Amino acid sequence: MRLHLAEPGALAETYRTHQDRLVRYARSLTGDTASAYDVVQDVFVKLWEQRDALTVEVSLQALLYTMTRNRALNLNRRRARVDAGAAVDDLDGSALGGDGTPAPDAALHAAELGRHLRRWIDALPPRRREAFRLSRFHELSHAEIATVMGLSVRTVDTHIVHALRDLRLRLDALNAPHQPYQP
Amino acid sequence: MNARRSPLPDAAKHPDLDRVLRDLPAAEAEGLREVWDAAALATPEEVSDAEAVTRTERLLTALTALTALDADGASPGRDRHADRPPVRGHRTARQRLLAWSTPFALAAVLALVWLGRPVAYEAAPGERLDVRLPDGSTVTLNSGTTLRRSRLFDSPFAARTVRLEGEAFFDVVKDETPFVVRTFDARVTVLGTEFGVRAWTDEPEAATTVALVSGRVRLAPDVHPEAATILSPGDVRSVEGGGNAAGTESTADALAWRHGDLVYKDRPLGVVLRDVERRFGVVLTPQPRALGDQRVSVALRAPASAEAVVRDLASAFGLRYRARGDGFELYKPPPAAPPNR
Repeated sequence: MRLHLAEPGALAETYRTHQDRLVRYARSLTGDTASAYDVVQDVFVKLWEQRDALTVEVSLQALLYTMTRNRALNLNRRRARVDAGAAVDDLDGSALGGDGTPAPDAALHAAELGRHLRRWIDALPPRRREAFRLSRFHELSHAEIATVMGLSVRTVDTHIVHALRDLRLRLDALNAPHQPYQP
Repeated sequence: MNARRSPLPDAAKHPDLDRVLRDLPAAEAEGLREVWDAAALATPEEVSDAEAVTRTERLLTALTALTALDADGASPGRDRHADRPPVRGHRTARQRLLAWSTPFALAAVLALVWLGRPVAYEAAPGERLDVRLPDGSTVTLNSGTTLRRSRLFDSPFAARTVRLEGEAFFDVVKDETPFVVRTFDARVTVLGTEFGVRAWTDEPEAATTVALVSGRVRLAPDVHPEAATILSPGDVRSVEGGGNAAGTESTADALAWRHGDLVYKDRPLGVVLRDVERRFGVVLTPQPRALGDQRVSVALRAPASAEAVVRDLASAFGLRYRARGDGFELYKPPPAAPPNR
């Protein structure tokens, strides 16, 4: 597949369509919004530089996510060298998560349930969490996720099912406080 | 911004989910699908830094515009309104606003244009130039060589990429970000090492050649990037199809120019002549032209002048030469006439 990014406005248009979700994805990897914007800008400048040599194998979406991922992880590595070993991994949501004690009321307010879910998702193992987010919140197909994360489609399938099972167990434990969550 | 985003998928529109749930017991599949739907509540918070978005959009528009300008051969700084008489007196508010904002918009565009323009280092004919790059790597440019780098070179989000036209020796500071030398026909990727790259487009059998002193280097031809070769110290390699077959040259020979020497093994005479031209800023003409294709092996230690080289070449290969305006002409002696020099 060839991209026609040289057309006037095509590049900026591609950016407009994709920046929102790419920035959110970059933020989930780098932990802060400012560098997420920088990462995504760099992706598009790179895209422009390589517009003649560009081949899109799975989808443009997969390519953009792959480039974003590589740059974000690169940035993390650079930062890790600067302030040795700061764990960026869990920065993106768990810090925002609530107080951690679920209300035992059966009727959960949607916002509250959302907070719980967000915290549970944050608590998934990093790779599983990333695959699940890409699938649920970024609308990527499993084939695309496999390309982006360098996994097989089967492994992505497994990640998604395990993530859902984990969330299901936590939800059940929340609804029936006498059966505590056991992964 | 958000209005453009399509709504989150529900399970029905998610074929991959259907596929993985199909293999599970119905009850469990149902439970997992519920969780999937509920997870919509955990959608990550929106990001909305309109300023950052606008900044990037401008940059990208400027990139596109720059290329269009380059293609047209027009200069971006030209003032198209220079011949319009100045408007004074009654202006609408809109005009006043325009008048105020134009300098800022212009400054922003110029800043972007400036950012997009690479920094260029040029070694004039007759000189060698030592360049220090922002990451601490050093480069020696042979005469007539141009090296370009992005202004964002080594910024946290840009790769260390330079573009080489000509010949240079690199001493690259080790870093996790690869250092990439792009030439007319190849891409040389390194981590931290010392190596020379020869990428002249204006010589016979032109092909990027890399001579590696230390470290590891990857040479990828643009035409067949998958045919990349990894060099080890001591290797001299050319892009496939180029004149310099692997192993015919030592790194010392390939990098002899750094000490002012001219060393060639089995190379077209035309290659030697082009190097001498650049070194001394002269024009050398083989007569007939086909003479330039003759293969020669020659080592000239720090020649003092173009004439010294031409004299040595002539005596070594049974040629004669004469001064010609801005340089020399090398030619075969007429077969009948006895040599009279």
